[in-house]
Amino acid sequence: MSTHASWKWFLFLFAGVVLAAALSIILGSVHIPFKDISSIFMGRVESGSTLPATSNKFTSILLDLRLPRTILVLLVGAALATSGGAYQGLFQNPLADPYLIGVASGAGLGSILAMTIQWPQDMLGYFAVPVSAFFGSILAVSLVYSLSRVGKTIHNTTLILAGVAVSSLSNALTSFLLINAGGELRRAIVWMMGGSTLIGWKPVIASTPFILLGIGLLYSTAYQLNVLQFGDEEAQQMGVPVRKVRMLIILAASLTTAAAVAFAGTIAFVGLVVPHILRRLVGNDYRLLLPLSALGGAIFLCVSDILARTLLSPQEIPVGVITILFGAPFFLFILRNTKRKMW
Amino acid sequence: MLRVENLSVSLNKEPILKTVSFELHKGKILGLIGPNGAGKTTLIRVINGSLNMDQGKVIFRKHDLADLSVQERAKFIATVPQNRTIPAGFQVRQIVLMGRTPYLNWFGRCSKEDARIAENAMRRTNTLHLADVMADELSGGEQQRVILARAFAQNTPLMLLDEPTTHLDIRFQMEFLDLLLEHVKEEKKSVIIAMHDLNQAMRFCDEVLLLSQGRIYADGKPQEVLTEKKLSSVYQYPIKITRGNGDTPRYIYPKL
Amino acid sequence: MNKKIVFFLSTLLIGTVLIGCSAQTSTAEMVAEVASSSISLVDGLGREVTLESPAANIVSLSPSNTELLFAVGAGDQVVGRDTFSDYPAEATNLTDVGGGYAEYNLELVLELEPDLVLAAEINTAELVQSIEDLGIPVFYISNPLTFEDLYRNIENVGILTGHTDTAQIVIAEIQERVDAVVSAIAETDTTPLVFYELDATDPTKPYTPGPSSYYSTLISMAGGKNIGDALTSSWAQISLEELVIQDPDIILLGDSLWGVTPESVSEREGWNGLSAVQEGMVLPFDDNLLARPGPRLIDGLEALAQTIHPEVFD
Repeated sequence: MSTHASWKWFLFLFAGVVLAAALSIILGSVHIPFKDISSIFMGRVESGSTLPATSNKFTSILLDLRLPRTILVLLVGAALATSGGAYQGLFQNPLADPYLIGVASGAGLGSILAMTIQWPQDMLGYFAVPVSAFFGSILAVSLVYSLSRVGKTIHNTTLILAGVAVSSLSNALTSFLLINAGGELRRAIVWMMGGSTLIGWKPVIASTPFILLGIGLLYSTAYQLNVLQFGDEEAQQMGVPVRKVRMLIILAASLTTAAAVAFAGTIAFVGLVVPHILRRLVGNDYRLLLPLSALGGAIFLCVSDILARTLLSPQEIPVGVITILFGAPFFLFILRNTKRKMW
Repeated sequence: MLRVENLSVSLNKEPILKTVSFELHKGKILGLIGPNGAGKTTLIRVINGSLNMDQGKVIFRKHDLADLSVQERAKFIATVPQNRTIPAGFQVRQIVLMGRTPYLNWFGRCSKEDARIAENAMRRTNTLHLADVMADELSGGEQQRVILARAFAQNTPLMLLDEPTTHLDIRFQMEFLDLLLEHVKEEKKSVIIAMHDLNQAMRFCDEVLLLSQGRIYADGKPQEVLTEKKLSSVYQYPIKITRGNGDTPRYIYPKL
Repeated sequence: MNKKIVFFLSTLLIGTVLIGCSAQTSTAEMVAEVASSSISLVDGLGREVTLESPAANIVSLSPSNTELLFAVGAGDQVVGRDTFSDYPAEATNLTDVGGGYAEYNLELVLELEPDLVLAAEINTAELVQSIEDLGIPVFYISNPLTFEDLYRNIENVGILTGHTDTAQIVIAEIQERVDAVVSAIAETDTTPLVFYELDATDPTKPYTPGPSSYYSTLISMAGGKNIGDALTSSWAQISLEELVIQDPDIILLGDSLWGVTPESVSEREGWNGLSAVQEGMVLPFDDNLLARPGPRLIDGLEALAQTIHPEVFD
């Protein structure tokens, strides 16, 4: 891919992000006239200007609900897609997705564990959640890795099976915690599909540093990921300290996934669909694939979220349901078309 | 330049190589021959550090390879493996540039010099015109030359090749070996090349190592090692050799 | 898989179970002093909620709270309600803010600009926190375990809405009816064993209220014994074998709301041996009278008493 062509993709996807973000702020259950939206935002830009009285509730809706949610959803989508792309490179398997390989569920368990011990009251409590999620994700990915490795290769079937096993275990433990803490099965289901904790600025502030750190770390490993595509042995022949690099990539990808899942719940298929599509368009160079996946993931989840919020208004569908609706058929499609030798 | 001393290797408790010792000098091509399972690939993998040895030493230019880091070793030894793994989505140029990895920083940043070396490598392997093509779309012969170019780009004094001409037809086999020979002689590199084709071994190698059941059966110049008696014994099949003027061996073939 | 992982997993499992079991929501509820014109109460989560004046724009997040609001005469002060609030009929005219099978729509809640949100036990602590973070006061009403708890809830709703007098009248009326039931039941000499079926999607392990639920309290007050009292959690499963051994005198179908009939019960594998089935003592019951811990609980109590001891009511 020549530099010229790849810049086109960056611009295109970046424009997509801006568009999706704008739509996310404009659309919602409550109809806010466009002029109110612009005056509220302009009002924020020029401090000290008076706003019309009726805009108070609009201001609150825009700035306390929609804006933080938009930002969170963009970041979470970017995180899931980037870590998905990295896992696929790491396991050399196009089906590796943070959800399918159980990492997201492990992160979810860590997240809920933190929230069960102490529901975050202050900012410090909020920061504890992604950290706890990170430990959960590391545990999960180590389990999956050791369960699914047969000699030097990791086959599709064993990877997915191990992922399902770890996922189920994590989800069961998570449900147990949620039911016991609140006495409600519905809450468990809603959280696990990506629901109740997406509200307000605190989740955004708590996740952002970890998401940015994780994505940044992952991006820095892009070249090493490229070389790893030739297999551990060949990569080592070219001077790559394979074990160290794998370890670093796993840590970074798990941190990214954990930060994403911490407040958004387990959202499936973003990490599968987005890198897969982008691979078709720009190839396997992770130096392109990872940042473009971040942008693509942001768009995908943002659009899914808009649909989740508006399709059945006033009911709000958990955003994870929307991603599954799009992602599952896509997953089956990839499965069908993967070359025989991958099975 | 390369000295292997008393190398013993086992896989899953099965001894594969037993006290193998030999020497290779600068600028020489050593052909590694022997039946399947004799230990050719294992020997290559031990020398390049992929496999651990049970005992023995591999010393290259006075460095014990066991003491070198992965990166340092990669500056000494480049390997062209038996299985061609070309993942999708990479251009030829990108793949050849990966040969420079031991010299690049963590981010894989290439200098003009690196780009020049890669270009040279492609030129020498007749793949420069394919530089911007997706490597997984190439033919077998072209792909093998790309991997060779990558090994050239790695710019190492020692090159190991494991049956690099398998699955290539005659023309591409000859092409490949000619390119290799040319480059190696020019740069005075040492090469160990495992081969299954005895005639190619005879033609292209300065020395031949005949392995049998993990041990060195014979080691020396092609005329010394490639004799009917030795080959028939090791390959367990009657082998004949036609001779030319002055008794020089011409062609090795199985007895009909 | 090596030992280290097994060890780690077991630790994680045990740790998770311990943490899960110990996590509890507090259900302390007290009434604090009412000072001059401002209102200050402690809610079911132990939080002190203060209002300048009685709330005039209220959003209710549960059907039981909606019923409480209308019962004390504060119907005009309610601007929004959850999807399931359908009683009284006027409630359906209010804005629906979600909370059915999915999330509550906080945008709609914000748009209504409420000065108070009433939450119930079906709402999570994090939802309460999120709404508070948006600057809206939330009062959390815990489920009553006894009628005394219910009176307190009614009283609190009365205070919050400025209808303390009506609230007291409602309480007195309910008290009277409760006393009537209690004294009638005192005349009986049997205590039938009652199986209240909440859900039997899996007929070998149906759901029934446990000992710490108000269902249990009401069944006792209605002169019956709740079969679920022998179980542990408040929403428990009982095995079919246990049911057969206990052999309840009466089976009340709380899930008749979802189409379960006495006929369908007798068709279940292993159920027609139960005495209640054979004697025709499998009766549909309007779960709405009990599922919503609001003012209609007295209706539920009366219905239970009439069903369990028809001999003293006619």
